[in-house]
Amino acid sequence: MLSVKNVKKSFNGGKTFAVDNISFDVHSSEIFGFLGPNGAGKTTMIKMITGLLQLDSGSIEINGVDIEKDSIEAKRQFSFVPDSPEVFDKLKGIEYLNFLGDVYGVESKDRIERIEKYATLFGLKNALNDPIMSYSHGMKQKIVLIGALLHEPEIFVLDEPMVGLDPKSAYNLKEIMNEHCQKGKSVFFSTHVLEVAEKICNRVAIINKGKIIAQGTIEELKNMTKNNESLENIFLELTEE
Amino acid sequence: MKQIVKLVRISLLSSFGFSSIKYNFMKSKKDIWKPIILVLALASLIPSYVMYVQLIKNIYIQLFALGQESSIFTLIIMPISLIIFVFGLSYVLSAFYFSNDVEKLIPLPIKEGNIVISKFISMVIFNYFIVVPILLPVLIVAFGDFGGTLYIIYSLLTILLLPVIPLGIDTIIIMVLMKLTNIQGRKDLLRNLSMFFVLFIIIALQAVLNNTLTSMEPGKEGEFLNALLQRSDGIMVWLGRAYPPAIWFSKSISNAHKISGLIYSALNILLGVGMVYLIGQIGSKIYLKALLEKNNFKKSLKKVELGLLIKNRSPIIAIFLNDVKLVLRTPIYLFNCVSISFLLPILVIVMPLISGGQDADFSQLYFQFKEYITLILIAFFAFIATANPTASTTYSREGKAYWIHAVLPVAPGSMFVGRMLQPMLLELISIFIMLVSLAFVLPLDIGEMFISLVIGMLVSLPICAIGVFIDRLYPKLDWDQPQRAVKQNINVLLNMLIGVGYILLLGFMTMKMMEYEIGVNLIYGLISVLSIISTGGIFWAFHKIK
Repeated sequence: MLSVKNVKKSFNGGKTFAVDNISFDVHSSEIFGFLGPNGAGKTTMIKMITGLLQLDSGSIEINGVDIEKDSIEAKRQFSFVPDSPEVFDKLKGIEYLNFLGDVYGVESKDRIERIEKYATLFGLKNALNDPIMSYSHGMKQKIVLIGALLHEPEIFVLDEPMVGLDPKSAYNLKEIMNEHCQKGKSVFFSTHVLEVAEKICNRVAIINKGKIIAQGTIEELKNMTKNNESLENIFLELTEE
Repeated sequence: MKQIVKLVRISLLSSFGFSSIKYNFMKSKKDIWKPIILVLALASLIPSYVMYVQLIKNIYIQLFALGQESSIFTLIIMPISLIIFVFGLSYVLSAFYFSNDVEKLIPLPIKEGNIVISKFISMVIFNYFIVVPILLPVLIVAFGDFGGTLYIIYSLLTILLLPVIPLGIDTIIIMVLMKLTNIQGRKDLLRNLSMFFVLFIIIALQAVLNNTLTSMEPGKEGEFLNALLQRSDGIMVWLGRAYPPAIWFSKSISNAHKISGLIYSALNILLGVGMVYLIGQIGSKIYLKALLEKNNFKKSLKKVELGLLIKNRSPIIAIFLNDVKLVLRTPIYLFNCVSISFLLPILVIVMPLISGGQDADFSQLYFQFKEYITLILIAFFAFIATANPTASTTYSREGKAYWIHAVLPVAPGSMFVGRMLQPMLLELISIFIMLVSLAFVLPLDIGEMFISLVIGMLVSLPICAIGVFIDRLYPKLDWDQPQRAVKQNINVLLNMLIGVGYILLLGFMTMKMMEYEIGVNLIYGLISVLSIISTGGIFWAFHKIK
């Protein structure tokens, strides 16, 4: 579903590699966690997957469509939730969702049904007619999430999605991720919250200084250590200087 | 005082973005082209600036011959003050009420008055970019007759203090307005309307004042001129009658070596310091309260009926409506992008009419240039398109929310058309207002009006298109107040330069075609075809942007 091959991205005129020859695959019906310390290259990688940054070399295919060769078709395959929910503050919640529905061509009937479902789930239904600038950080995060789910994407890409969500909403999001995978679709997300990754991910990759230093199922990673340690310990061990 | 200096320093560092410029320039090599473009853009202004300096010299010689040379200062100080005042309204609104930095300063142990004063001083410093280039040539030209150490000192004081009064008046108007319109539910709408109202009242007042003061009884013109020239400051007092500080500044410089120069300079300092103190006092009483209440929204208590709120639209219309909503609901954008469509025609046509007695001049001009009137109108409409920043800031206005458009699966063609609709709609409104106003003054026939409307729109197409293209290539997304997305955006300047270049090119081509006696209808056709082809070229280039 998502195929990343030998992707490189450098800054400072090629002196620093934010992403250095990374390859991984996310299969259908899979939740894939992307872990790493601050500045490891997670957001850069996600920006390249979503077309927000150009690749220096390598390729990224989303549902078989190359993001650089056919970006419009590739963008139809995923939806994205960034780490900071910056949205059009002056729009009302419902106007923002309608805008996304129009752009993705979601039929009215489906649009109403999905907005009803997710807005009720996240407790945002009665705020839909208010301007987004009146929303709290968490509410903004939720409206971005609802917008991202509106066209039922094949791949759901999320950057630090749990930040700012209350426990109930975080739980609901995990349920949505699972439900999404049960439909044969996939989820790719970055996180710092290792417990979440340990609980819900089918597979994870750990990135440090632009390189993937480990990837596999949680069990496979645990087997790499002598004492079958927790993901937290594996993470600390692998990413320490 | 120390606190104010530190706040001003931080504000300037963040506004000019010295750290990010250094980083982008030295480390990431990103935006390395921007200073080059800026230098080129400034270099292209040099011929106009040389012409301005020459004009100042000529005016000075004329005034000298009349013994009225000291009025040169008032002649320039008046328009500078007016420019600062008019543009200051939206600047003050943005800096005080739509800037992110205030929310970061509020939790810190800083006196409210100091926050207000430091913001005000930062704005004054920014306005030196207007004052210095316009006033400096005047001060240099007059140096030979008035010059000396005191002249230099009082001139520097004038430069320093000149923006304080007009910006101070702006600040007080905006603070009172924000306090009075702090009514839940319809704040933005109320504020937009009141900003327009204030600006309209000021323009009308200025025009009426002009009319009253310049009207003289028939036959008494000679008497009036005699009285004007009898005193060496006659023209100065007459020019500055609507804004006395302009006279005081002028007298402080022109009387630099007399005791009156010192007295006027002291008066100006007193006035400037008094204004800053007043703003500190008013600000600490009403500013923060209104600011904190800015985000108290009236929550809709009605049950949300999704069926009624969902409407299906094409991506082009969705992008267009999104763009329109963003502009109409952000007072700064509304003021800078939409107001120009209404104000420019008013300033150009309605103002002289209110000022009185000039309708005859319009008709005279019309009959003098009857043959070319449609071409002149087309050129003017194209100029309106270059002056409007709506196209060249379409992406920049979205700021940090830009990522939404970047990840959406919208074909470049739909994106381009969606982004073009708003600036073209505003252009249509401008042309319409202009033609309707002109119809009252000139005996324009319907054919002339129709042709100038259609070709005016066609010529505006590539100007708006290049604006959208430039802003797609290099959007200014990193800003802390919306004013910067429009007012401190190099894309607006670039769009303007290219637009003016295009108008000059069309003008040159038209003149050449007329020399070869090519029929005017063919000229219209060629201008239209060239504009369509240019737009097509930009549209093609837009597709190629990755």
